[in-house]
Amino acid sequence: MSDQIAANGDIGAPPEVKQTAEELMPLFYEEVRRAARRERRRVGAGETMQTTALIHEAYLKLHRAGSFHDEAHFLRAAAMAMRHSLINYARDRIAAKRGSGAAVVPIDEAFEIGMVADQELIEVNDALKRLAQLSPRLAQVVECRFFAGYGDDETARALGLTDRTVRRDWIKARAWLRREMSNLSG
Amino acid sequence: MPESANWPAVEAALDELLGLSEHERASALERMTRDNPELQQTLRSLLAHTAGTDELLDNPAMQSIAETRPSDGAPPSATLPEGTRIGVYRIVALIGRGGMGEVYRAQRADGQFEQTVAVKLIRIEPGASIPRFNAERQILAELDHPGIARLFDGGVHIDGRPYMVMEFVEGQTLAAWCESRKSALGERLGLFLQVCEAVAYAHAHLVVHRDLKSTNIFVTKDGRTKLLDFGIAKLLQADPARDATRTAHLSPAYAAPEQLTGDAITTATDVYGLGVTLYQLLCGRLPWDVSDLPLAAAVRRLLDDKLLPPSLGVLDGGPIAARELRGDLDAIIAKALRKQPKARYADARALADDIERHLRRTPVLAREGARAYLLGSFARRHWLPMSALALVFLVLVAGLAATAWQARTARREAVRAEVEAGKATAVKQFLLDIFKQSSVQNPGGAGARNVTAEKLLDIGAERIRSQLHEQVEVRGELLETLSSLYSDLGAPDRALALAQERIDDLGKTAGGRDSNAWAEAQIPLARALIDMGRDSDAKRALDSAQNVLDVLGEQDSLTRAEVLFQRARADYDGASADKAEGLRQLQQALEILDRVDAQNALRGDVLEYFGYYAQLADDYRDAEIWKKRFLDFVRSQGAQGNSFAIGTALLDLGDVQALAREYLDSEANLREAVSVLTQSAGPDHPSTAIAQSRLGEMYFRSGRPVEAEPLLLDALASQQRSPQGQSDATETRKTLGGLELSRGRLAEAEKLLRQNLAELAAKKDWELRYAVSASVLVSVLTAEGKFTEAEQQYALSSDVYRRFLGEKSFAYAGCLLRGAALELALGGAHLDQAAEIYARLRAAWPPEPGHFPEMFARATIGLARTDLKRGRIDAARTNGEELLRLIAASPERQYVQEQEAQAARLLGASLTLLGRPNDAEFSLKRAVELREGLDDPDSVWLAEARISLAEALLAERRLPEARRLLELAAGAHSRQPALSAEYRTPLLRAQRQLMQARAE
Repeated sequence: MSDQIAANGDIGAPPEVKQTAEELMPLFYEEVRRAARRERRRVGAGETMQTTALIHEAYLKLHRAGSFHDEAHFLRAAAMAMRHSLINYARDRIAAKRGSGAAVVPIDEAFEIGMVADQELIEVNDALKRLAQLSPRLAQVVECRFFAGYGDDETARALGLTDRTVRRDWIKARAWLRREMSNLSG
Repeated sequence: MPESANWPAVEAALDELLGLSEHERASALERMTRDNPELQQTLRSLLAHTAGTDELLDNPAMQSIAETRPSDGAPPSATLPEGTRIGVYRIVALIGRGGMGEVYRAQRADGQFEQTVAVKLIRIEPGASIPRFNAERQILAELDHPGIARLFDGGVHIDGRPYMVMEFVEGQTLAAWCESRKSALGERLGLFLQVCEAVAYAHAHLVVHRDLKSTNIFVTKDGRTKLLDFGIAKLLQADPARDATRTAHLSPAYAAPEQLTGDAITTATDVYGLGVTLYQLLCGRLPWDVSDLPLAAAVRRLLDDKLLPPSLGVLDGGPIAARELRGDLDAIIAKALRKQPKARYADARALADDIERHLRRTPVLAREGARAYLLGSFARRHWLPMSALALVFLVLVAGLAATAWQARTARREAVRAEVEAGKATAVKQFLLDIFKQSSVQNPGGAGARNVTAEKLLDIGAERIRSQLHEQVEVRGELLETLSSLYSDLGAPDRALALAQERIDDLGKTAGGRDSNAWAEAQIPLARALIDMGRDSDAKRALDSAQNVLDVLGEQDSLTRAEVLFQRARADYDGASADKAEGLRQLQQALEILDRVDAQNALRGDVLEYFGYYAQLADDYRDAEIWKKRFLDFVRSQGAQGNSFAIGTALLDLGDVQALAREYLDSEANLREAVSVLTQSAGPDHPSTAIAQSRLGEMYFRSGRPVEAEPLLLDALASQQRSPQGQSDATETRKTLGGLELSRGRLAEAEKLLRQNLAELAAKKDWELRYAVSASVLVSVLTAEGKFTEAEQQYALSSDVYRRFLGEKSFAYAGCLLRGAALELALGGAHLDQAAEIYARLRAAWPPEPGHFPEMFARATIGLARTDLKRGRIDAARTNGEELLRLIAASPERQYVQEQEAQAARLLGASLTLLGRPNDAEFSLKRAVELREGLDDPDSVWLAEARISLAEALLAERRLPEARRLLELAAGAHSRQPALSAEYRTPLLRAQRQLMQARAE
């Protein structure tokens, strides 16, 4: 999977974080798959809970195994793993719908969903890689806040910033991404 | 990208602009980018994009990916429509959705009968096996309890989802039910106990719920609780090897630590869930609030943080008040919510039991060892209430000047004057301040109402240390008073520390060691030392006090009287020479009081001790008089916290009356004592236990062991529960040991007495108590045939008795009796020795008109036994007859049934040996009958009596009856782990005889 992460761009993470992210990948991917089968409007809080529960469990597992240095390390790794999982899943789903070769996703799942969201996610990811070249920190904030669904507080702790900085960074990053994506779509 | 070259500049500019308000921004942007149209355009564009919502970016990515947008635009539904068939059921409506699946109401569709059920469609993990699911389901289906929603059936739906058919429960969740009725504590606890019952049932069937929370608990309209989703969490696991429940299915706030860390799930896990539920039920909130915490902090919180006790966590304005939760419920819930599973209750049953104990007001196991809960008990006088509020009330309102201590010392006059002038004394003020302070410090306005008195004193002691360096006078008064209060509370170690501090203070001042204050300061010190059993140290302190008083020429002062009194206390446990001294001192103290202050509380103490001394000298009549005087004095003292004092006075009086064999009066007073103490001090108070123990002892002494036993057992249990009740427990245990011995249960008696010896061996100055237990043990060991040790214990105990109680004392005579019985058991040449002792005792304690001559009777019995062994049958017969005549003529006949049984047996045995089995039968039957009423069925003595009867019957050739008796005796013998040949041999002999007779 490491080549996947490399291919997806690591947006400036130290090697140990990447390694932890790799450990988390299979777990997260599975969870994303399961989550994707549910309806959106079914649960408000439940949805957030799913992500929380997932990361929760991962945290405990790794914590027990002593495989991360500190919370920031973990949070960053988890965010990275989440991003990759989501993107991989989106790609796989698109591939399944297009009927291209080995469908990772069972066909009945594919029929339940639209393509739009998947495509958009991939675009965000691509844009993010470009943002990372300008400002790794802004990209990391996006990874945490958008892909992993962290709040300001958790993002701050993951990246060693203040809440305030995170909020400001997000405004900037978001503006940049929106601009970037609207430019692309013409 | 145009901005790639100078992104830092762009970002910096953006930062600045974002820090401004809308209208300021425009002009600032102008200013900043006057010469850079490209930059301006970039910034403008970026700023524009900060506004507005973005459907994609403003929601977490996960949400987007999970969105369902079917291409044909039809509303999304995984809900089964009405009428769908699932197994033999038909869907009626969707009831709800949860993390585990959907729940529908359904009805039986095959026309068999009307049945409404709940059908739950489960979403299980990929990789879960259907066969495993079915296997688990079978286990759950076997749970049949009114408190658990039944699982009827299950299967797999056509869409591949497994389903379960369950009892349809109509009602509200537990929380909602209680909320709507504004249920009080009792009702909530009652419902909770129902829940525990159901969980306990499941635990007994080895099913753990794993997901207990209040939303899983329903209450039907007839007020019955029902648990839902039992064990379902386990059903949903993909990996059977993994015990840990998938976190995704857990409710984090309810999850036990081991569920979070993946350790083993046990019944204790459910206990945790029950704890959280109870907390929520009583406090209106969860024990750990993690809803707004970021993840890692939430987990850390759940694993590490200490629990906020319910009494502090309860929301104000709810139906439950903090004070209802303080104490027992705090402790119970804390025990259920311990992080370590092993530290919790082992299962739901244990938790329910403790709650029931709380409701019954018996001590709760969760609080064991909590010192603040139980008052100490060494000294009999413990009149201080447990709560600080009551303490302050007494201090301020009941007119006690500050405390009894102050009332007794020379300061009394000054104090009284102050009180009369309406001024608060320094001590009163001090205590009041602390009290107010601790009220303020307690959050939630909880107040110091239930702060224990001991805690209050602790705060006081600390304050004295930190704040009152200069004011030596005030400091001194406070130290002494607090020391005294600690003693009253039964914490002599702390009392000692404070008293010592006061003395140290005085030692530092000029002339301090020669002052009246010095002498006075020795008193609380000595009191504490005596309470701790350090009599010799106490005496040293008191000697130095007396020296000072002598030098100062203070003869007639309260201080002197107090010193004398404490000396008498210290001498009480000492050798007999000391005791004479002690009495003299008491007398002196009394004379001083008569001259100086006849109503002083010290007088009561002195009277009380006169009674103890008289008792020690076996002068029970005298003791009774003193104790009556003391009781009158206490009653005359009026309202000063006194029903407790009356209770203990009744106790002492009844006690000595028992010794004087005035059993009717004794019983009346002891019963009243138990009643008064139960009311004034509570059923768990050490003094109440002592009263109970004494009542039991009285019954024992008066030959009613059956009535005695439950009282003694109850008292012992209460005393053993309290850390400070241990010394009282040794007394009770000694009595119980004697009781077991008399009922023929040697092994039990041995166990109790050995326990006592182990405990007492470590205590200095308690030789006499040790000797008493050792003495009873001698009799046990003799009966068991363990002669060597019996001799050792006898040598030790008789020596102590002689030294402490004197050769002429009744107690020493009792000791001698045991020694003689040992000689008797050793047999051979020792028999003469035994006979001599018995004869001497008979001579020394001849029958007198009035009471039954107990010592004479016992010595006579011993002599008769010895005579039988020596072959002097006729002498034995004569003695036996004489004794029985004495008993028959005595008004105390019903109290001496044990002696009657012994005498009857000896008479009968001698008659048999004299060839008159017919005559023997009457006495022997009487002996057996009496024993059956007194003893344990496996009693050695009962067996002995039966064997003797069997021998008589054998002589009359009534073999079947004899055989039956010998069988019973053999059974009893077989159940005695150790038994001397003294008892075994007659059985063997009789059995041989039986066999011979049958052979003929």
